[in-house]
Amino acid sequence: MITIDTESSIIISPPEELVIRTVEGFVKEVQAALSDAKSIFLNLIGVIEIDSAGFQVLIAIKNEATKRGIPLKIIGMSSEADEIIALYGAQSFFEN
Amino acid sequence: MFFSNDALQEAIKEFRDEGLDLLSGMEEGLLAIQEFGMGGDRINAVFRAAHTIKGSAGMLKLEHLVEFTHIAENLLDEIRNNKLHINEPMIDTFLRCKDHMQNLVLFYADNLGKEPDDEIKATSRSIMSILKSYLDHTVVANDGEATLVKDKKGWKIHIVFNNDVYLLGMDPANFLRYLMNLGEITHSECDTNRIGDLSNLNAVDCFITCSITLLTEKTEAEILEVFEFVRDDIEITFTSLSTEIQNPHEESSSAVLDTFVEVDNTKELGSAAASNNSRIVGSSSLRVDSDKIDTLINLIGEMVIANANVVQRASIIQDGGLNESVSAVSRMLEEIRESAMKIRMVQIGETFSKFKRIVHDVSKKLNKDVELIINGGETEMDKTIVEKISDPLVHIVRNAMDHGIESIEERAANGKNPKGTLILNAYHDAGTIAIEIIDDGKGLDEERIFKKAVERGIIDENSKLTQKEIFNLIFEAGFSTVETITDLSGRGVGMDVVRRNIESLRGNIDIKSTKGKGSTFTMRLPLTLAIIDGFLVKVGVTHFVIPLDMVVECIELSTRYRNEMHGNNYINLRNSILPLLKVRNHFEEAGEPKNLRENIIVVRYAGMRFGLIVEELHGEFQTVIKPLGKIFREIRGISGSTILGSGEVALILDIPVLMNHVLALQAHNEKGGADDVRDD
Repeated sequence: MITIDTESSIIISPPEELVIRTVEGFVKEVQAALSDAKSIFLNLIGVIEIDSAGFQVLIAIKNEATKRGIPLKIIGMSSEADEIIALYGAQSFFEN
Repeated sequence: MFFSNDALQEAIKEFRDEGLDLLSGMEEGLLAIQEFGMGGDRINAVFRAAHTIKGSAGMLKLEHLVEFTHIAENLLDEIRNNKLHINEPMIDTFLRCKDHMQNLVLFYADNLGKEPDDEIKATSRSIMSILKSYLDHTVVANDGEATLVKDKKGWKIHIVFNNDVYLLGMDPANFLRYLMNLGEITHSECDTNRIGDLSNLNAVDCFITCSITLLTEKTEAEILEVFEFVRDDIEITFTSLSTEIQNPHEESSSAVLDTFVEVDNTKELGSAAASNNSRIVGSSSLRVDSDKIDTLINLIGEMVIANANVVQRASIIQDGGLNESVSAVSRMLEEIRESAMKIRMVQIGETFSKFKRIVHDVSKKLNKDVELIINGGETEMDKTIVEKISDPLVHIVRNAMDHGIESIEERAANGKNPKGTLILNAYHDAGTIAIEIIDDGKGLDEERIFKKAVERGIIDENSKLTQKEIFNLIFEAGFSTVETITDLSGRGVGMDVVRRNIESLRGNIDIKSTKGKGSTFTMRLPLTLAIIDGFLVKVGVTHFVIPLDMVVECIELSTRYRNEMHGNNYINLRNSILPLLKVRNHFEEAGEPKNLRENIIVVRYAGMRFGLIVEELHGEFQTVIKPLGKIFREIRGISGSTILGSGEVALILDIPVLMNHVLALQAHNEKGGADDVRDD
């Protein structure tokens, strides 16, 4: 789910299952919402299942934000999302 | 971060200064842990020192230093997180580590843009392999002894998953999770560039590439079995980490270490930032290049000379208003001078604290138990002097431990406390700083020193020497009383250099010793080398300056005193004998005194007094010390010169040397007197 917080910032809340089955739809949704975004908040609190395909989407969102010069901040984190990010050693990647 | 050449030079210089400070703190912390245990913030302070040095080195791209410090930092991190227990051998390794880091810092500071040579790298590798063995948890504490418990190996595994891995129903994350069953993943990293950005992502294709560091007992083949089901869809490479450490030139090695740095940044960002902030908030000091202070002091020195000229001219004009203004400027100038000189003053405690390490190392090497007590660490003196006395101090301390303090067995046999005591004591005394090195060892053996000096041809066997003269023989070139030369001291090339260094700073060294009880070496040094308050006097046509701190009083050499002298060189001053030195005669001043009135300046040095007979008294004078040229080096009794307001040169009297001369004259006279009695 993607909500527009103000005119310039968006909050991206991925589906509960961010896995190979759901990533394509989610990517399309985010791509559409990003066009006017000035800042992005990524709320992962509701992610209860995530695999490597879901993880690589999160990385791609961050890369996209960096490419566009938009700040991205994680505002919520589930233990499942935290586990996979740590597994791939990507904590610092989201902090920069 | 990119630097221009000048900026890099400046940054490296700053890095050097900061690095040396941090390393000195690291050493102090380690010794405190050894002495008092892990309590307080000690381990964190040690960790922060390593962490900050690594961070700064990383910014300056000092790769080898980053590589080396990283391993030490990781081990310190394990210790502070209570994953490992620090023990004596570990502290020793960390101390070695600190020394090596210091060498590396100095190397980079002196060799801009160069990497260390093979010899330095070999030392790095040897220390790193010890650190690594602790880090791999292969060595654990056992009553201070290191014991091998496991044979874990470190592997860096680089895996590239092909695009169709997801389509095969595989999740790369599961392989990584499974690897955790084989050992400990200490580091992992994902190649985020391969994944790319969202607009180009085909979400069902796999773009996972990762590097992990696995500590395990398993072999490469055993690890490979984990990937059995995706063998055709991955590219996997293994690098043994122990091999990497031994071969830092390999390309893969630096990649791994870069990775280490990055992971570390995430883990430590919070605490390091916090510590940096507290350092900025807590400290109100500012690091300034000492050259800048020297320039400032030199300029003030020139101003003092120029002002003296203004004062003199104003006194000729005799204009009340002008005189008042000139005196106000002079007062302010004096304050500026004092403030500027204070900038150079540092506490000697910093120098003293490095002796904790020396005492620790030397005690261990000699198998002696020595307690170091530091007194007066807050005593301030000029930084230049502090730097220059460091080596002589080290030498005397090592000598005291090597030759002075006895072995544990010997002390016990002589009814002494098996633990020897070494005291470093500093205090201000009459415009000088006195530094005492006191030990409770066996003391100097007069007979042995005398015998050796005769053997070495330093003195004649019939020489009649006082105890003080015999002790002073140890400062003669080539003198050594030890039967076996150790690598600490006893080469007979030290003490003469010690005395020369101290004398070159206008200081002196004195020994007091009692056989079986111990020795005290006392160094006396001037507080500063640049500008002093002086007392200006005149003899004939020559002006002399006496350091004001040493002046006790001025008295007129009245006819009564003159009559009492009976041609001797002393007077009875309020019931105590005051030896005198006639400056005119001593420096062979030409001509005759203009008037018969003479004055005695009573000076005090090292607890003794004597009087200097001079003619005119001109009073206090701000004295900018200018060294005498080499040609005048042999002149005894003059320590420097200064320029007066009139442009004339005044000579600064070397009171310690003149006092020794007076004492020698006195001793000679007493001896002569005794001989006279015998002759009668």
